[in-house]
Amino acid sequence: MTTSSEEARKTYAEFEEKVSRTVFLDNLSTQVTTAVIKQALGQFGNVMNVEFIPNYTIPYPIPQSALVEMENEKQAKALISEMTNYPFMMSGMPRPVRAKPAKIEMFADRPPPPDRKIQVRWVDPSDADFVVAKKLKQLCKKHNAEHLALIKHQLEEEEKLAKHQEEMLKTNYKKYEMIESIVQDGTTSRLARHYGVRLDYD
Amino acid sequence: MSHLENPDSPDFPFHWGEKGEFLEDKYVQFYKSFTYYDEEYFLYDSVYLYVTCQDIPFIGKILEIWEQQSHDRKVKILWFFRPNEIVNYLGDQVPLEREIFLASGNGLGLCNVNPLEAIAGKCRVICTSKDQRNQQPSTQELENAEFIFFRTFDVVNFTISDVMPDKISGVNVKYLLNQKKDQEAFLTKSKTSTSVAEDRSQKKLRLTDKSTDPSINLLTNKTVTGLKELRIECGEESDVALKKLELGKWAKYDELQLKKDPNPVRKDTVIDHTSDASRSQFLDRRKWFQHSWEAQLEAANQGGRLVLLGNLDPSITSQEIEDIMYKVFQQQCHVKVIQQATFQIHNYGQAYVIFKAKDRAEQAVKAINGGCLMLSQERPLVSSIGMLKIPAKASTLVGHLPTYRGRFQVQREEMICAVSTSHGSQPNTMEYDLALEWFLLQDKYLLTQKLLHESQLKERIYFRNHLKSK
Repeated sequence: MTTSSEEARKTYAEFEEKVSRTVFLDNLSTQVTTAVIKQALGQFGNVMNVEFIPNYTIPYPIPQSALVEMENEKQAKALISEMTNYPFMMSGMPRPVRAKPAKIEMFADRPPPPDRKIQVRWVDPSDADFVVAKKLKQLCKKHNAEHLALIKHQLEEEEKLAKHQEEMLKTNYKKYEMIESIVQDGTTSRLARHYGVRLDYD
Repeated sequence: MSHLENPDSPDFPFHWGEKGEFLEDKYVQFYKSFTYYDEEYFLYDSVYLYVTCQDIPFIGKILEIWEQQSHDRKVKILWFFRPNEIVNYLGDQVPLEREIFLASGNGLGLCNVNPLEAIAGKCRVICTSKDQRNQQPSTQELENAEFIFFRTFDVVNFTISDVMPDKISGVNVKYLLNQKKDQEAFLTKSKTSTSVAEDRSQKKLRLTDKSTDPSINLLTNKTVTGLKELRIECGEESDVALKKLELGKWAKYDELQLKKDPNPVRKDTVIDHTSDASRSQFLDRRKWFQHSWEAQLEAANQGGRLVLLGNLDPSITSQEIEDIMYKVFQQQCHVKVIQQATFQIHNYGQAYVIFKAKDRAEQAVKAINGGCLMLSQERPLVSSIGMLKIPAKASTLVGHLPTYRGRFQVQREEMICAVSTSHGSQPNTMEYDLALEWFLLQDKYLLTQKLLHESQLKERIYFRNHLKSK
């Protein structure tokens, strides 16, 4: 059926083109909505579509991520390079948003590559391969567990950093507030006069 | 609340169309059409209406459209009943696939006035009644339709009839039957969905070539009469052939789940946006379709029909998995691959498979886990029943810090706005330094992830070599 495989090729090529124009954003707060993204990224070009990626498999509270389709590849590249080199904030600070070029595996509704045939076979228990296959299955589960442990660790590290930054920010504010207050109520001027120090507000 | 969802904002995607009557005394302007979210709706169009407390939308016909003095936009909707809503009155009759019933009679549940914004989208409903006034639909139109109707349900007597009355709710019934312009719309709008569906049904024909199952022959008779003769036994798993005729996202939603309900659903109590003080209930239509997938997942999980497949090729697609499931288990199922985002392992793909029945799902899992189903590139499948527990989304992101109010800072509102507005951070701010710390942390994670992947890859190669050398 040449027409259907041609069509499949065409669909796949169109999809690849779409992927090349799409940007993968993550580290998004749940407060970021389509409208926020459109407004924020409007400066980089025309935002055609925004699709949020739901989390169905990671059992931890992870930040949101989205696929943002731009008008052309150039705009997508400009966006990514800007966000990689300069921190960009959305709906909060200081954790920056991360942008990467999208890959076809990120799309749930991707078309199959044309001319790909997936072979399926049942491996008989008497087959020598059976044992190895079982081992591979175990390996898959083990790798998954290791991966989840890494994610958990990373999320803990992120919490630590956030807390640390919050503390630092708080103490900074306290410091500034303190300085403000003594300037306001005249303590500084009094002390300056007492010590004979000239205060210069420039 | 985004500015797109505020009906008074100029960007609200709504425009009035052709005007109708104008009632002086009540200052009400009737209309014959309007455009909403880039779709043009006319009188007597069939539409979906979404209710926040339910996942399945209602289907209705627009009878009247008007704007009140207060600039509230209203529509009067004549309801369609789904078979599961009138299950007690069907008796022994089994409704056709995609059949819905037009409400008739004069009583509660016939029609309702709703805010126009409750409309979630157009619905392709075709009337297949043999009534003289009804324009008979063509094969193509029938295939493209999402629902069909040829019977009415009287809301006063609770009876079903296939005789079309003269008037329903004061409207001449000929307007409620097939209209020429509808049929044109059906032909053009659904080109993409039919071509995709046809591709897939052709693919399935290849796979099932060896099967001698007589029901498969129905595939070749995709005609009008073929459609009418196929009936679903509600609750049992449907035949492969029946499922081929499901086109469009909504038709695929769920098989009829018959609920034993003593009364037909009282529609008048359901959609009540007007009583809502804030207008924040207006739903983004795109979100609603995605929501339906989540609802499917939830429903399948509840019913024990959800299976998680692992150790897949990360580039595999939903269609390929559906084909594989069909080939191996002769089971029609609905698959969604898990998108490869930040936290997915690059080498392992996963997918959720929704089976038609619990026992089939369990059988499949048992077979896959007990035996060894090998996909190309030496990937033995791994499977498990049910969904992992996903925690609720946090309301703020870890790392987004609250703004501090200095005692002497008066303009707090602007400050908050400045922080939450999206912006690139300038190098001379503290925010910039903090952001750099985040960059550093993320780079560390990427590096660790890379090391883990490399060591995992080595393990896999080691075992795969064992596989090849026998």
